[in-house]
Amino acid sequence: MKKTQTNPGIAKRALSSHAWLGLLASALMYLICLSGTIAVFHHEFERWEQPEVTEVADVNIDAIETAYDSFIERYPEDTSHYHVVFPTSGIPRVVMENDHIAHFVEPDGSLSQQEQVHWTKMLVNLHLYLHLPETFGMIFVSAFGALLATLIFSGLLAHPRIIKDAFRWRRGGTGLQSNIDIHNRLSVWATPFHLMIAVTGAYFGIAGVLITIVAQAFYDGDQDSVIAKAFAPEPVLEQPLLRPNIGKAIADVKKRSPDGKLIFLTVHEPHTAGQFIEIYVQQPQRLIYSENYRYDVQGSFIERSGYSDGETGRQIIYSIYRLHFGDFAGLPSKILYFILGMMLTVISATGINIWLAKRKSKDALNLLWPATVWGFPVALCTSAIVDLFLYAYSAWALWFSFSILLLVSFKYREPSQMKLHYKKLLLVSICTLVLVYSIKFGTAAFSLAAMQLNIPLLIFAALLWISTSKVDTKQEMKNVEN
Amino acid sequence: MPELMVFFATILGFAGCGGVHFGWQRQSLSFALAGWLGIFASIVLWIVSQGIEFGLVYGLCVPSIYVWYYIAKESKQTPERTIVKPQTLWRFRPRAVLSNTALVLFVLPCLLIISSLVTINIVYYLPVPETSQMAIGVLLIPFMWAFIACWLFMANNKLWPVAISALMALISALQLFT
Repeated sequence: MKKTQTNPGIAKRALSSHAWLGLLASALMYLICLSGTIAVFHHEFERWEQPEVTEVADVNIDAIETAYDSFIERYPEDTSHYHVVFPTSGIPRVVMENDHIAHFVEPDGSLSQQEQVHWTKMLVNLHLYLHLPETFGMIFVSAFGALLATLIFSGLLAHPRIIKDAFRWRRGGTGLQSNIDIHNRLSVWATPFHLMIAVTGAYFGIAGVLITIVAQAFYDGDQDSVIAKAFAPEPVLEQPLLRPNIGKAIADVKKRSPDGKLIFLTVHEPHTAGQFIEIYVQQPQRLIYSENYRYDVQGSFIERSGYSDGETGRQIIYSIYRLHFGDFAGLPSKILYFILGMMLTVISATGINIWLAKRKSKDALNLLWPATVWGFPVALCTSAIVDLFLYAYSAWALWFSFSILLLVSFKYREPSQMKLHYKKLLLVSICTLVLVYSIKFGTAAFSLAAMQLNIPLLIFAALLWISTSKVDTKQEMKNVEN
Repeated sequence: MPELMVFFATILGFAGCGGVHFGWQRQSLSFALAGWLGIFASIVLWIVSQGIEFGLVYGLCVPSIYVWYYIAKESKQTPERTIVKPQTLWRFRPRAVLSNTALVLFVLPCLLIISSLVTINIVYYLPVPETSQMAIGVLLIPFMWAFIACWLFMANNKLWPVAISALMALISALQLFT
């Protein structure tokens, strides 16, 4: 096989730029990747947060009509939307909500408990905004998508032995070679996924910038006109004030899209002359978020949005969400994205490990970095434990416990010792989480909604236990030898 | 039938990675090419079974998992060693902080604006409907951003990439807004 010939000057400069950018992005990139990887299972976490809620595979139209009427009667305050979430949306539960509050719906149409998914929302917000103010946070996090693309290109250019080392993995030694090999093998082989995540991730913030520039350039600053080009504009209606006939609309959409999965139904601008019903239907083998069917207040069909077969650009834009979050083919695509996302997280961690290992001396960063890598998962667990009792404090709990763990890391002399202790702490916090969760929810902790996450969590804890025990045994042997 | 296709796509992709590995091990271009052909054929099978959209995602991403079987086979364990490094304190170097801050400001907010202006100006010349121009633009901006950033960091004289990209942004802004 031919060896690749890369100009060593280019490779050297690419490596130094890769290292600089990696350092710039490092910690936040790690947090974004880790939270995004876990958030792949956000539907499962929502179910896990309320395991006692009734789960159904399907729902009949009468139950939805009943739930709609009960909800409006209970919450008559102003809202711009009512939503019905169907059990085929990815979570086998029916939810009835307005812009302020959400309730689960029993199979007979009665409203059950209020939706409380604070921890999942906190996790998703961490990934989307890093808990910064939303508009700024979205653009800031999206910039990391572009930085990731830059890191991919500079990384490939910096790798003159890309073919020679294609399957190389040196373990042991000082740890430097092992980190280099893991970093490079993961990066090179999963390049298509990383590029896809970089570009689709950058989209969410860049889209806003693009809309602003295009609106200023071609539409006298009217951003709504630009948005209407990309997304189907809402119909303008003048109708008598009636209760929306959602039952008729649902029956009709099932005929129009027999293979589609109903995700949710929205009543836009309810109690006004312009109200209309929109039903979002996921299409088989399509990455588009949905095809949308619109109905007037009497449940008569108005139009389709054309996301499935309209202009190519519109189809592309409407496909980015599912492509980024891996939420397109149920569990198989989620597992694939979780594994590949974890690879990207490991790349972020090993990149800085390499930089630290190559330095001739050590300072506080040698403690802070492993404290970030192993402390942040501990902080996530702590926030989940706190959220079991104090709703809406999970973000505070996350950042507070993470800060404490960073500070505590300064008490250590050796990063390896600290890493071992933080791994053990993670093991203990996972076990505590599952234990406290089981005590709180009782028999519901043994439902599918709970077990589908608790069992993998316990398996991960067991792996951590095995890994930390090995290190303990090695250290004991070293002590005996000495 | 789709399940059978998925099975064959999996086997072919795994075997394809094996072919690439065998070619790499034996330094044989023909085995490596046969392996890549297998991986390519598996992408086709994924597309046939799952449709073009899902199939491409699976076909392109799944080999990065299979390949770890062969990487694990190649792994070599060496005795662990510890290097004792001297402890140093953080030193504040104002010049380094200033130059790095300038680079961060250029790479993050400035390049966002520059790459957006330049890309939008280019894509609005493409002979496709406006929605497609916007979609292409939004996908190309990160690449433009990455290209300029790579150019900046790899240039001996960083002033050139800064000046040229700023000039390109200025020309684009003039064309877009006048």
